[in-house]
Amino acid sequence: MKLAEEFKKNAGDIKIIDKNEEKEMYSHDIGDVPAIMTKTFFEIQPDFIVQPKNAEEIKKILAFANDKKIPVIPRGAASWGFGGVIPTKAGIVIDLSPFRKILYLNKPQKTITVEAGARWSDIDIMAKKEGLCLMTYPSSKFSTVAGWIATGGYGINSFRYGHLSNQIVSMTVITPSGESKKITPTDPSFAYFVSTEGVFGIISEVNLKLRDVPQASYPHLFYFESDKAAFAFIEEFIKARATQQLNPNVIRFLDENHLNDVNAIMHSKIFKKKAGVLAELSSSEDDRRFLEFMDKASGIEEAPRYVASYLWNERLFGMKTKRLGPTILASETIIPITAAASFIEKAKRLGANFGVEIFVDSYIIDEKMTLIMTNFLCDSRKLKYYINLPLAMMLTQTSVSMGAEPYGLGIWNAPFINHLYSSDKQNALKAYKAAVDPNNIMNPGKFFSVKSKWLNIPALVFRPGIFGFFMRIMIALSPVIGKIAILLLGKHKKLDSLDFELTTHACAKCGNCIAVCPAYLVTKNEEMTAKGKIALAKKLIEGKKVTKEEAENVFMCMHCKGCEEICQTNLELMTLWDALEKRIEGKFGRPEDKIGEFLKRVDESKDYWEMVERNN
Amino acid sequence: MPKKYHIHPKVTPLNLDYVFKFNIERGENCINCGKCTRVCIYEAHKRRKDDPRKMADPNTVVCRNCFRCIQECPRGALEKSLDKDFLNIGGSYWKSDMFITLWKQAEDGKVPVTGAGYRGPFTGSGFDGMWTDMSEIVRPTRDGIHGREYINTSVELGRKLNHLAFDEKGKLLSKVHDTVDIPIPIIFDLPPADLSPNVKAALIKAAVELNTCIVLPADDITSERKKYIKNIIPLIAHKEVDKHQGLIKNARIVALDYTDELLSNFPAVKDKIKKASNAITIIRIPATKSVETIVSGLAQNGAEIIHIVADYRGMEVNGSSDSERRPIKDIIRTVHLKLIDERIRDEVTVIASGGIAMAEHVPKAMICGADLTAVDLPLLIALGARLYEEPEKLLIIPEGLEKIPLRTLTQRIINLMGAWHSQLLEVMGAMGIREARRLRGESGRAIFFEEIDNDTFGKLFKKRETANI
Repeated sequence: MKLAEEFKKNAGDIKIIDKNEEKEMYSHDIGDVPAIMTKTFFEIQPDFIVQPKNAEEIKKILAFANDKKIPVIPRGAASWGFGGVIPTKAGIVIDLSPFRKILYLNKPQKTITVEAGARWSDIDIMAKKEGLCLMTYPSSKFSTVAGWIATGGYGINSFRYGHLSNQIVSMTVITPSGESKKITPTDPSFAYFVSTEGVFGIISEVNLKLRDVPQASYPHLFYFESDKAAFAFIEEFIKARATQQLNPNVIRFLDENHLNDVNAIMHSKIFKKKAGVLAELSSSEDDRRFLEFMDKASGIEEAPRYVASYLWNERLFGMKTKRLGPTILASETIIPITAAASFIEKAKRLGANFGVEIFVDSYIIDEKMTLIMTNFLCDSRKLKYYINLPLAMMLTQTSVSMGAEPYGLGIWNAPFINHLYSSDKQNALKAYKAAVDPNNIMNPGKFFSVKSKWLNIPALVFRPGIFGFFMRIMIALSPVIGKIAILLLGKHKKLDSLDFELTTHACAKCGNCIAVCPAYLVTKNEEMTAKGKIALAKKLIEGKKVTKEEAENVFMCMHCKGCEEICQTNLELMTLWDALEKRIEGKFGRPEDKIGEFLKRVDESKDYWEMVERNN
Repeated sequence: MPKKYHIHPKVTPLNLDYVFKFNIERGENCINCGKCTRVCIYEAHKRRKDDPRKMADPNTVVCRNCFRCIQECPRGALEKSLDKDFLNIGGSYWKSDMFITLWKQAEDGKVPVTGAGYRGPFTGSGFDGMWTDMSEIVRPTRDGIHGREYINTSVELGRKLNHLAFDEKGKLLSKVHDTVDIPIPIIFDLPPADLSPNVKAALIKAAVELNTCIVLPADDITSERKKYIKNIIPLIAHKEVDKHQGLIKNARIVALDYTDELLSNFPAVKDKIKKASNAITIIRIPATKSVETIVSGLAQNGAEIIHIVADYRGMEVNGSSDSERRPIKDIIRTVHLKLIDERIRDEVTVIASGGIAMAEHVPKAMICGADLTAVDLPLLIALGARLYEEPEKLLIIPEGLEKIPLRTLTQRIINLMGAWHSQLLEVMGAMGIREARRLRGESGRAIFFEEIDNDTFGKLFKKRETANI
């Protein structure tokens, strides 16, 4: 609190958030790590949050942090689950999510300049009006541009267009010392700002390449008897690709469990119980060549087109499976295609030991590697969850031991740093860090190594050596530990439908809703978004203290159904809001005046009307 | 200059369901953005009172079909269609739109616009085949209809002399007949329907306030209504003149139902009336096939005012097949021209009624040769009555009308007449005519579609347009 007061003195009109209820929204990300755990290890509640409107304000914040030697945590949509935006030692969260304007579209050069917090979805909509569109985009398309640059960077269309960094024309970064510089991919320092999770500075503006809107979309789904057969086909396909001019945008692998879950969500049997490979092409010419190739590789069963189209259109709703959970835990790594099938086999065996079913989703990213997600359903409310959590780690451990690299580090993957960077590379990164951030204010306590409370003793677990050792033991003992766990705590049963409480748990906290929420656009208050309201509902259910002021936020809603429309988990949010509003109304009454003021504010907002028209 | 005649409308909504033209439906995909509330100038779209975050169901009654909400909705969530009730009401003469127009006029006395551009047809049967002169259209737009130009809408009922005779000393020899002046060329005619007392009272009251008259069957003139006798025209059978001496005594005008007997014995009946008072007499005659001959006969015989009554769709009565029946406009023209031929046109006042449905029908009937008009069904439509032509004429008086306060009903009729009066002023202004009396028979101030069509294209394609009407 003191820090916030001090900052306010010279802050000008920088928007500062320092209310406890609101701060809570900024102390976690999409990951379902129990607060008890994070709180034990770290000071996850930031001192305060700022929502800067321009680079100058960001510099001001950095100067203050350098002066006080307190951490600065840049944050986008918080839709990445490895703890990259969770404060480890309080500090200032720079919320770049409202810093989201699309600045300039250069039609002849096919580029677009955007602010750090611009949403991929908004850029795509905007560009499409000019006949252009995104090259690659993350499966959580409602996340921020800078957020994806700072984290993974592999997503839809990566097979065709490569890593996101290939599409950056230039970007403006602000170093911890407050120096703003525009860098291009040819600059030696460029690499330090890609997938480095905000430890070297803050990305403030990005110029991206766009492409022409393709002719059409031609998705195809092929069935395979086993995961192995599917990957064997993928290898063969990639070999033939160059000589036969095969140009799919996407090659995606989904195992039978995954397809089966989609069936379960839809309460129907659309997909066969087989492994699937989904390919998407964007011109009739490409499609023709592709189908010719597939004809020659005889004996491969193709699913009906509508089935492939459905799966393709659902690519942005990856969290739907949470409806069966309500929790998903996932391990995400980049593994050689040649090792993928055997990794899956091991992963499934490991999962079976713990009584969970592993389902797999994998995007082929280039000729050698594939981004692979091994996921399983569980329930964060149950005791068994504490056994499930390390299972996700064990999956990553298994994967890296087969030649994979972790897909980002954050807090939870920090022990795997040696699998991502060689020691030379690590030394180079560390040297650069010491040069640009001598006070170590940028997102500290993760990435390189985890720093925790209690004299850093708990963090010892996260030391790569110790962590790896424990993991290997756990994996080795999994048949025993797992059996005991199953015996004591039972297997996970898939859900059939969601009630009020389960709905709140099925929320993936992916932040899609924040991108489309008019209330957020105008107030920049996450508590008014679907994500915030679900957090409040959870608090109510758990019987935690809820103040009148924070409860009243649920009424600040235009009922535009935007959140429901883009909800990754396809939750029945409108019904939920009605129920939630009723509960709050019973407890605190209905703040008619506040609602009136809110409506007036929205109606007068230029940004709001722009948003309404944009989706026109 | 006499004081200008003004009708003072007051907004008087009637709390009864009435037909409305459009059904706007708000789809599930509405995002409650409120764009429609911003673009609609008629306030058809509002936020819900109980929860202003959500949009209320559209109030279609006020919709004037401008389509802005449909066009501007960012989600295309609004859908618009013609209301089923609207499509069913009326028929070939009483167009559905007329009901909406009359209802609106009765509500606020204003002239409603129908919006969105009229795409035709530009001609039709009956009055729709007439286009009035607009050569002076700048006048109403420049001056405003209540502006600096004084347009007199009053008309005189009664016999006028062809010429005056004087003796050698210059003393007037001719006896000038009594006349009655009314400020608008419209009297009320009670439609044949079972009406509640408050409706009848409202019609009388409105006639009084507007300073016009209402034709009322003698039996309907109860003692308490007698105080309004100056504005009531008792309708009596000529054989019962003696019986109603009391009524006639105080009336300014009386009306007699026509029978063939009257053709010969009208002077005798008139004498009887004269014994009681100086009331002038209307002979009410159905618009039959040979009505012009009868009118001429009556006029020769001293009739003062003749009221020609067409059917409710403004068509000849007792005619054979539909195609041979004449519309009121043609009947009046024939009567008018026949009286002129016989040089007795000014000796008789002609009232036209039946099918007078819209304000424009008043000047059109007058251009055809009527001195004034009598209006019936629109008075009830102003009070919420619905009329169906098919399968047979059916007039439905709204339920609960009998409980509506007299003042509300009266004011709505006044409003309706206010709107009609404004339109009459506008049309006259546009024609450059400042006296309603001058309008009578001014067929040069109108174009009759059939005539001009025949003149222009008759030789080439006969029946082309008329067949399609």
